[in-house]
Amino acid sequence: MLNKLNKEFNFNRYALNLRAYRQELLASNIANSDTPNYKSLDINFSKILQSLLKQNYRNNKNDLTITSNKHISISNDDISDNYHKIIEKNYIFSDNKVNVDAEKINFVNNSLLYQMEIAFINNKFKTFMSVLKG
Amino acid sequence: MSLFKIFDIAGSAMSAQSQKMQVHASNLANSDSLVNKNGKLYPYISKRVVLQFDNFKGSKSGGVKVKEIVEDKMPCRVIYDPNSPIANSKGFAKTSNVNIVSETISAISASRNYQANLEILNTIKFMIMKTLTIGQ
Repeated sequence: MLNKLNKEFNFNRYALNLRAYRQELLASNIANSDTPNYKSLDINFSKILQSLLKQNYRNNKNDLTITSNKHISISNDDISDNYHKIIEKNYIFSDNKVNVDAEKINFVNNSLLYQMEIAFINNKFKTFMSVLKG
Repeated sequence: MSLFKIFDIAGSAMSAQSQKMQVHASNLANSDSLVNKNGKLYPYISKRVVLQFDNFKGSKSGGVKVKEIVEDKMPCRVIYDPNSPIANSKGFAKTSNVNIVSETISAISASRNYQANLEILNTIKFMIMKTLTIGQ
């Protein structure tokens, strides 16, 4: 049962993690706005989320039924552990110039979206709690 | 957790910018100074901070560090001042190459950058506090 509850929060987990990661990149851009030869970094949020969800779906399909305790379960849970590597390989794009104003706006925007995601998670928790309590 | 990494990023930027401010203040204060080098007097040469990207291990993002403090390559101005201790036989003396206007502007820019990073710090603190309220 807990596994299913866990899966219910997968999407929010990815989104929240990605927001935090993007926040890190934007902070690095603002901090390095005076650094010569620095390339500003950003990610394509929707693209990464899509591919993470696709991967997650594929992993879930491998969910084998275990009929004996000698079977080894295929761990299907976490791509979020190594997803930083996936992102850094494929999805980071860089720009030669740092536009500080745009970075600041993105930073505030991203922080609000992060808080929005937290509000969604809290609402989901409330829904579950009301189901459990009846 | 990457939110905590942002503390390091903003902190490194703040210390780098404050060092930059320090150098600019020292340039402004010494704009009329003479420096004693090997027993001879020279005009003060303005200093400049070179910042460098300081990336974290295994990560694309990173903070800032001061790479080096170099001397400004601007040529010294020469003025007619026969009373100066470093005047040559014709009465011309070199003066320091500190450009007061550009130093002031750079100092303001560094201070604004410092403030921007302070704001980042506050935002991140708020975000972490908000994260702790999940499920309450």
